[in-house]
Amino acid sequence: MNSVLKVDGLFGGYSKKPVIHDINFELQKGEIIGLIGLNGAGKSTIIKHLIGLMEPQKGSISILGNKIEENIENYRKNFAYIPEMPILYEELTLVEHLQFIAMSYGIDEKTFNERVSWLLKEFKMEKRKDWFPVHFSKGMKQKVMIMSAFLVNPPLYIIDEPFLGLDPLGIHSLLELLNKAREDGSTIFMSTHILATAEKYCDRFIILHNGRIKMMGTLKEIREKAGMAASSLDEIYLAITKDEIE
Amino acid sequence: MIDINTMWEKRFLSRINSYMKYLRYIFSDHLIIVLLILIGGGGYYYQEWLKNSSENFPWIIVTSIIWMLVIIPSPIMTFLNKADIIYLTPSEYRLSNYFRKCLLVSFGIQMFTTVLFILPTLPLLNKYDSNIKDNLFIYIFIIILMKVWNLYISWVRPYLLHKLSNIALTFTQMVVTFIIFYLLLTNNNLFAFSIALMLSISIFILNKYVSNKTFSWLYWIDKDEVYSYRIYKIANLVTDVPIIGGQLNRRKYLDVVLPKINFNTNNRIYFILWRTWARSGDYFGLFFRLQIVLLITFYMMELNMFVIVFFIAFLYAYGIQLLPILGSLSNNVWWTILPGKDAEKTKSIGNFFTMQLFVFGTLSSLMILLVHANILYFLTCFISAIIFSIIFTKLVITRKAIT
Repeated sequence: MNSVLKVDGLFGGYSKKPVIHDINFELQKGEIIGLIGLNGAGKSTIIKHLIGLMEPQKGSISILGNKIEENIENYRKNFAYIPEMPILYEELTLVEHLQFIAMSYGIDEKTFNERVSWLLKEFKMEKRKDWFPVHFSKGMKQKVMIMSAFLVNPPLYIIDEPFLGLDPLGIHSLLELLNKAREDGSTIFMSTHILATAEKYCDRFIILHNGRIKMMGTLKEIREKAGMAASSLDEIYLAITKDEIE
Repeated sequence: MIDINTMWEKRFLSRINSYMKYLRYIFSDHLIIVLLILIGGGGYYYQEWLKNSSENFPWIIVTSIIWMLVIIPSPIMTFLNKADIIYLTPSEYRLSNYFRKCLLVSFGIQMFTTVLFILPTLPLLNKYDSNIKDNLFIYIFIIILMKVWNLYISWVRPYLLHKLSNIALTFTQMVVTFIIFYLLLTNNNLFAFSIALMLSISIFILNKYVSNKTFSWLYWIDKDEVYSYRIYKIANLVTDVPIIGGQLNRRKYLDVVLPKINFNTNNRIYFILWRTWARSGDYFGLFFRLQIVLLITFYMMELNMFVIVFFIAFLYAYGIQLLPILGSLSNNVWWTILPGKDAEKTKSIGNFFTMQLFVFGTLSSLMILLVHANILYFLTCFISAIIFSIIFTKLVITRKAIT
């Protein structure tokens, strides 16, 4: 079975009136999928449903066959989440955040030490491992979020606007990690506004508009559906969402 | 154009409404019963102590220190917030009336707290100060004058900090305020009055010095946050206050008591709770303060059943005041989305509280042994602490549905 995440007829939102309507998609092992949409299109709402912060009004979500209502622990153990805005415990140092994550996911000491020293080096945070979040810039906090997710090395990464606040070196490291994770068989689901980067790195795209999936597929498939053969993702995106912009 | 007066009124009312909302929670909770017991008990002991206190008691120094400590803290509510840096700075030149009102409101509130904390010193003066009846109005006048002066120093503090360090400035305020109260209580009324008058003149001089300075936006936004935080912190003892934030303190010396990392999921909640307790601005300080207050209380009390009542009341107060630690952790999204069983969380939280109360109780019992050298009372308190820790965890912690 290669299906990692399956979303089936999902309706959801904060109030009785759904924000997202009839969302259906399936992610396969070893692919990077970009979730693209305007502000308020429903990207964050989908992500909140995926990570189990919101209850679907209708429909279901399963990760590697596990539904949250049936096996919450297996559901949660199979993904790592990188939020748009870094969320940290003010009282824990960088390395203690990583230890906390390791304990939560049941990572053994040897694996932890190997991965942590590599991640700290990759993100140039070795000297800051005993620092508290209060002393970090926004970009550094985002690096802690990324390190926490890659420490877990899960089958599925759920990432909300991953490039926000990162410096060029940080973006480069993250993209390398994403590529490596894909090669190792992990699936990456990320929402982003940086379409040029998404075009370069994502295998498939889900274009969301007014809470509905407007288009889905590889760049080639989307170009065909939009009838814009030689256009960039930026141009297609603008054309598809034109009604909203006008 | 923004109507500054309406804006001030809106902000003031919104702050008052917010405080009232939380004050309602505070005054309807069982915490107030514990406070009443402590105040009632404290009052009784104070009265008893006054009856038997020695004629040589240094009442002038003690009263001067108490008055000084009450008068010096003079926070100013500005009702400013971070967005004002963008939206209100263009109107800075029109805000003098806005800040005048802020100063007046702050003065009014502080006069209320001043009366509240100075009143208990009156029985002491009544016993020792033979001039109290003649001098009462002078005392009141000088106290008000000193409040005004300290409030004004708070107002010009950001500018004075360019010239003096924070500590030097506070120390100057302490020395000046203490000397004036000391002179007043030693019946040097005229001298105290002249110094107080000179301080009032200093207000006019300082006013000239700061008149062409720009307003310290960042300083006052930060101060207003701290000021509101104090009230919310009290409310947070009995209800969840979502806007609350805190200051961090590394306290490396406490690392010895922190549980070490164990690569086993059962340990993680314990791991984070102890670290939050040790490093957050609130909890270790609370533990330490209550221990000191308890030590002083035990020292002043005679050995009787009240000692055990106080002991349990303090244990309860500590347990209740420790509860917000759960809110500060569970409001974080990781608490919900990271893998781990809810039963494991509840168990770790229970163990944490039992251990905290047990340690608190044991140290407090040892104080009784230290102060009164009575093994029976020590054992009674020690056993009560064990029983109380278990009951509190069972009744309060497990009832707080933690998910």
